[in-house]
Amino acid sequence: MTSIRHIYLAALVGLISCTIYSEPLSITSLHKRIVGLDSDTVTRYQSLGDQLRCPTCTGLSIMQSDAMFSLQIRSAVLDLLEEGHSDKGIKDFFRQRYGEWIFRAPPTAGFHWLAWILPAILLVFALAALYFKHRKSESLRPMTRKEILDQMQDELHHYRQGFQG
Amino acid sequence: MLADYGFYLLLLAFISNLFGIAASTSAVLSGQKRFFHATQAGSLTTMALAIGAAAVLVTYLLNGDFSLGYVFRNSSLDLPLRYRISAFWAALEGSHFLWTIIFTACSTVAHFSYSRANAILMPYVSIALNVILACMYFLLVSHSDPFALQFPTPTNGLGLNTLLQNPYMVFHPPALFLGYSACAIPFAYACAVLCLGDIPKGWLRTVRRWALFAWSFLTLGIFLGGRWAYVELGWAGYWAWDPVENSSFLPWLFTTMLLHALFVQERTGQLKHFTLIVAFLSLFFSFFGTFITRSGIISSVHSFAQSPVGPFYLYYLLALAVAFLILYALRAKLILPAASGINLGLSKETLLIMTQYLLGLFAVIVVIGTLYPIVSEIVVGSRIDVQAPYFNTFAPYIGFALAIGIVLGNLLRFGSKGLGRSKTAALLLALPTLFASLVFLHCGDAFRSVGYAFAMQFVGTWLCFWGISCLVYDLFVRLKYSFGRQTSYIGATVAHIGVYIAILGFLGNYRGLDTLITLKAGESTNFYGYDMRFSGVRIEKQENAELYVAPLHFSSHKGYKGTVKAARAKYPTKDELINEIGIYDSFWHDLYVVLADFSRSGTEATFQIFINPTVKIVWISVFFLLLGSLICLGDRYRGLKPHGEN
Repeated sequence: MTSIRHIYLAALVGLISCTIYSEPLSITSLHKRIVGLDSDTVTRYQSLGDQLRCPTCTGLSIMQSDAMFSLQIRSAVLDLLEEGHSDKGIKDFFRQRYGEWIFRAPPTAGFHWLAWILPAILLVFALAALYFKHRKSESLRPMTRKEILDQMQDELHHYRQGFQG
Repeated sequence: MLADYGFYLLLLAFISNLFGIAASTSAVLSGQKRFFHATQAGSLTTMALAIGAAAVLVTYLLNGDFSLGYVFRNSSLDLPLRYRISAFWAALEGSHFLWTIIFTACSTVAHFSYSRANAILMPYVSIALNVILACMYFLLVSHSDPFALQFPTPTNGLGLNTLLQNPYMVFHPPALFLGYSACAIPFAYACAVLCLGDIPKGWLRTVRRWALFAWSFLTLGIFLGGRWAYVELGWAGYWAWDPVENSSFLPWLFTTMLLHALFVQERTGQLKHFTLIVAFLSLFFSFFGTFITRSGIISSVHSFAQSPVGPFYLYYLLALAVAFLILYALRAKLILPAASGINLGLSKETLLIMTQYLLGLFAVIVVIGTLYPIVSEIVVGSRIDVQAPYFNTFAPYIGFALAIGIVLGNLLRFGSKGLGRSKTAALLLALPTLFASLVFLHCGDAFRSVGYAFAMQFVGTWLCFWGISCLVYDLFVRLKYSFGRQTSYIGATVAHIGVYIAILGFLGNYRGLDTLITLKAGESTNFYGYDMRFSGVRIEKQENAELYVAPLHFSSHKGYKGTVKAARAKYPTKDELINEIGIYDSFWHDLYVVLADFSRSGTEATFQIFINPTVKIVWISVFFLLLGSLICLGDRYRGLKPHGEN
């Protein structure tokens, strides 16, 4: 876990230096940082930002919210990107810090798989049910003469038994 | 003093409602019609008393009398008239009160507007409605009394939540509550046929009418809510898959399923049991939404309405579910299936069943996503909120599958074995609609998106154009070659076209753009073909708010010209500044500007500028959806064939 600890430390140093040496954190200051980045990094920044939730709002990503907490996380993402960490490394950093809660969709691991595949399972199950029901009703072909006679005799038999009993 | 009268009126309404239960139960037990007449009288009395109580609250709101705690917390002297009135439903007590009144009104109308063929059902219907209503009145007088007094009387109120000071919030809650309340009538009729053990002739017609009514108002309510989020919240979207949005969507999905199941039932006699279950689910989920909002078990933007009514709601929902399931388990076997088995070949009924599956699957996904925080907390021990990325993974595919399902379902006929002559038409229409969709995509500037985003837009747009043209073709064929009443077919076609238009609008989300721009006064910038000049922040007064307006004067090479006024608003009773969004909307895209930041001197401002494609098309689709259901409501008669005749 040393690598994650390193990232953690680096980000902490980054955050502290950011607060000490640069202007106060605001949308404007963040924007100035983004302008200087190459388009590849901006794309990565946006896709990472879309996956992280705003901790203080509901239903929004950090990119959709201008709450101070979101701005801090956005700035931390930028720090980590500038330090050259991979997308996975950055996600691990936030996972370490906040837990899975910080992500906007359940992870594709362990129990959480269920949230992703349950809809598919249900669909297959429902279609299978429909298919088997269909097959059953397909088999409702017209009865042959003999079958009809057999059935009538059966029913007559039951009927008589009912009278006797 | 007046407040006490308000509370007494509510208490009397509750008692009159309990009398309704007693009278309708007597009607069932004795089989005498006079008891049902007593129920009707009770229902009218309840409504009169509830309206009286509402009048008391409105008096307090209009007078700005802050001796009432509810008025003190949700209103203030500076509010314009419409928000003084809408403060009625700004918080828990008032919105529950509003819902109860609307429910009472729906229930009363249902008590009087039944058809003769349903007379035998009415005592049961009345019991079901009155029992639900009794729970609502009980909650109102015990847990969420809007008439609690405030002492000493303050000179001014705390003010209305600034996010709710928006015209859409005046109409959104009443429309949604009307939809929720109307969902209860099909449910009550479902309970009634289970009690009776048979579906009488007039049942289908009445239930269909109420389901359509509920569906229309749910659609309208959801639309108004989406509009509100778009113009007020400032994240440039109208749907965030917020738990409470989801729980207004669930009754909508189930009501949609109910309407289609009723159609199958009318034409083939099938899906009788399914109809009953879906009627139950649409009512259940309309209360479920309130439960998760009010109890605070799932956080949401609507959490301003939290209160300790959670446990009560939980017991109520459980009781509702258990009662219906017991009733269903005991009595459903009495409702005989259709005489013939269902034809699951390539026929209309098959497609209707498949689309029901899809809608049901959609509902399941929404339920999973909404409840996942609780489930994961119980199972894994950590709370995981499920937000838009999860739902957006599934929604497009369900949308596409539905788009295909709607076309096939409309082209096929009941009991048919294939598309017949429509097959050629459907295939022929594929080519011109390909061109139409390419033109549409070009005009909408979709070709700048690449990869997955473009593929989705291309496939979706083509499907929608093809779908619309097939529907129009089919309507043409029907009107030309078949006789008899076609009103509901016209209505259905219009509504389905509305669905396609909505999908066309949603697809624009794949090519949204946004940027942050910092400008000094007098500076210009260019974004997406718009030249925008910032002329400095100025202060304007608008009704009760002070606005810091940062106007952007824009002109585009396409000839659009105007000013977008993004602003920050300061309301007298609140400390923080609220975003007021500036929107310039054209057919192809909205220019959506948020004032993100501005300097104290007013000479520098940072704007977040969004280009939101085809949002207007989404609003247009709602018009089609509502028009379609209105036309269907105008259909004169559709009845149920008795079991033998199908």
